[in-house]
Amino acid sequence: MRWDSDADLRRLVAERREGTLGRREFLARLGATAVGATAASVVGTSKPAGAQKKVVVTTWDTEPNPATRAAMKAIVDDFHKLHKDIEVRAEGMGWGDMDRKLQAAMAAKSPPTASHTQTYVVTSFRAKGLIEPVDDIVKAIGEDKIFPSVLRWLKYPDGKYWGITHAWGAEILGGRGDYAQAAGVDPQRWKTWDDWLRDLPKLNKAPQHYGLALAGIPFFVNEDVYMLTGANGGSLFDAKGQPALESPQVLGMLEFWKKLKPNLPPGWASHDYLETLSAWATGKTASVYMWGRTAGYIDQYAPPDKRNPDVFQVWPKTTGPLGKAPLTQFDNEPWVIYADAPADEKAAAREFLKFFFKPENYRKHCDSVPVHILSIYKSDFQDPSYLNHPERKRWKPWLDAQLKWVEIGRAHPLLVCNPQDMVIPWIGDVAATPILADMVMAVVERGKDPKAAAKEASDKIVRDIIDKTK
Amino acid sequence: MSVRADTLAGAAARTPGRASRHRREAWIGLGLLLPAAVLVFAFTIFPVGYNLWLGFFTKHSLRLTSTWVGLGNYTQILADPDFWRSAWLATVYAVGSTALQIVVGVAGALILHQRFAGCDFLRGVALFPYMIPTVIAVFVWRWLMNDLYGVIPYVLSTLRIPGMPEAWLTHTTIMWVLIVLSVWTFFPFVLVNVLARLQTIPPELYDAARVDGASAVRQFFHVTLPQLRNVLLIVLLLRGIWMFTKFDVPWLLGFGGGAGEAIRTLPVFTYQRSFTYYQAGMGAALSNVMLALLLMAVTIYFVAFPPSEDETDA
Repeated sequence: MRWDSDADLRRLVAERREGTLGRREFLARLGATAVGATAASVVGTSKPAGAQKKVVVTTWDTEPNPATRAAMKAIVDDFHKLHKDIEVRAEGMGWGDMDRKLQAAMAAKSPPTASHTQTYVVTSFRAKGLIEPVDDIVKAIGEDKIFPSVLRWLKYPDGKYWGITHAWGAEILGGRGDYAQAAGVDPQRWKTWDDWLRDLPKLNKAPQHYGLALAGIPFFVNEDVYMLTGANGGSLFDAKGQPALESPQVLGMLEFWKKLKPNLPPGWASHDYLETLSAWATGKTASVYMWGRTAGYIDQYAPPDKRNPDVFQVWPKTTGPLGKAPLTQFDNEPWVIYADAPADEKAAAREFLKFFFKPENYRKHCDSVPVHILSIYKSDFQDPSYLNHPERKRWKPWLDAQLKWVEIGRAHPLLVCNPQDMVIPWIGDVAATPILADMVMAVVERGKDPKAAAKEASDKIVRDIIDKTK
Repeated sequence: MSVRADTLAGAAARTPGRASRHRREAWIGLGLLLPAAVLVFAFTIFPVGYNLWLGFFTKHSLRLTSTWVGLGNYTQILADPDFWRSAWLATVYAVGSTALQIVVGVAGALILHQRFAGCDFLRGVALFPYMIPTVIAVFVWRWLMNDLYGVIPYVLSTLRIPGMPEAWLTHTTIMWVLIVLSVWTFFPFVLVNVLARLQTIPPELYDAARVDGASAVRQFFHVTLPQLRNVLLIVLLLRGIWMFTKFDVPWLLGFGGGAGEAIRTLPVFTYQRSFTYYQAGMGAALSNVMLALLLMAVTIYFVAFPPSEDETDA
């Protein structure tokens, strides 16, 4: 709108130009006119009494890739057609961004209505009263239709579900079949850490390629710490939730990591997770801990003739000397609903999530990253229309390997070596800090005695987390 | 009250219209100042005051409740070896990178002060590193220094220099990368300031030095450097403060862990206390300690290097 379309402003300017109005008075009246105009515009744009107010649901999810955004938009658009009184604003963002944004929103008591999070965060948020149960959503989906191994991690001792998984995945050890063949190694025969350590040097042809890629950024070091500890028969916490880092199983894990180091790239401690995936896809490492998402990296970086599961194989994870079975990470990212959101928004969010999980809608979500966003419905893994998706067909060994982990019950959420660790209220707080990563770096990179490093880490967990949580 | 004020008051009493006009103008003046005052209070005074207050509490970042602990946060900080380590790393980083920025910036300014073909173009180009967003600069350097794909480690490995590290983003070498990266990014600030001052040094001073038979080196130490003294003191102070409190570069290079623990400077340590340990009170106390350390350093600095009163140096 132009300024001269306002009669008051036109008169004011005319008076000033004629000289009948002083500069100060002109400015003062101009200010008053502006305030008046602003107030009028606010009143003018407000809805008339009785007009229907839309309930706005804000959701934050951690799938910012274009395919998932398009799928989410299609689901939201379909939902709007059925619920004209609800507006769903679905935002996608990376994990790192979500973590910080969520933290600021929670501190300000202004969270989104619902968001994705990690399983261990559900434990922390539940202990702090920041989220609400979602039993009605689970019931609407049908408890018996969902993989029990998916549900078990979100059902707490109070018998309630505090989150509902949007997709699951199990971490697998990926290995280059061509490198193994060239080195005369048969990884499928590996059972123990000793087997692995025996063959890793044969797969390590530095500097052309290294035996194994591990990420050094704290969050990803945490992943390896608990998986290796679990594979060595231990846990990071005792039965009371206190740190158990000085146990023989954890100390054995640290010693084992030292032995892995000669097979890692020299700059591993600064590599992030995505760098390890691209290193595998480009042939700079023989093996890597990875997820289904890695298929995208292979299609992007690997030579066309190698983009198949015969080259990019699944290798078995191994067991430590004190353990009975290997352990892997279960990616069980759940939707949660925030307690501090307004009641009408929470109710609308529940409606939206029930709609989201209807099979015809949910399939769009799963198909956006076919080998990574795996369906929570058991029946989908018997359904040809799901399994015959070209990507799922191509990477079938990867799917089968993930399904096997779930079936044997050795895929646990981050930092959860034993199922009872799930209810430790500070487990999410420990995961957020670099304490465990510092312990590993102290031993592997700075040569510190494992026992001293473990004690230091235990003391920090008690002082900086457990005591502060009380 | 001064005679002039008495006179004004008397005059105002004699002319009531003028007095009311003065009062009105005073109110208008206050009204005009009010927005700025509100902004300063809201965005400077209140946050600093709240941060000082918060330093006396333990407070989880996700909770509204907090518990008074008095000086508890400060005693824990002073007894924490991790704090002293991060303070030491911040000092190494600030001193190392600032000193090199000054050296490179002054050298660059001396070169660009000369007239030669393309010097105007180079003066523009020299600013580029400072104009690039930090996140881009750091990520480009991360790629350049990557041990698997990086150009720099590859080129250095072809030189076969004995003792050359295989990787640069490791615990033992990442501080060097951080310093070099920071010098590359921030030296143009020094260069521009010094170049501006060089262009205002009276040429007669150099003429006189040459008449006295001073060599180029002696001219630099006895004419140029004294003339640059004040600008260098300000640049040194500002860059020192900025590098000591620099968060984005060390964070983006090391993410606060892994090899990044070797560059976990005080700002990174403070950030982690607030946003990964969720200790808002401890984070606030650390910020206050950082402010106190800087105030002490600045005070010592001004005592050691008082600003010159010579107008010609300004």
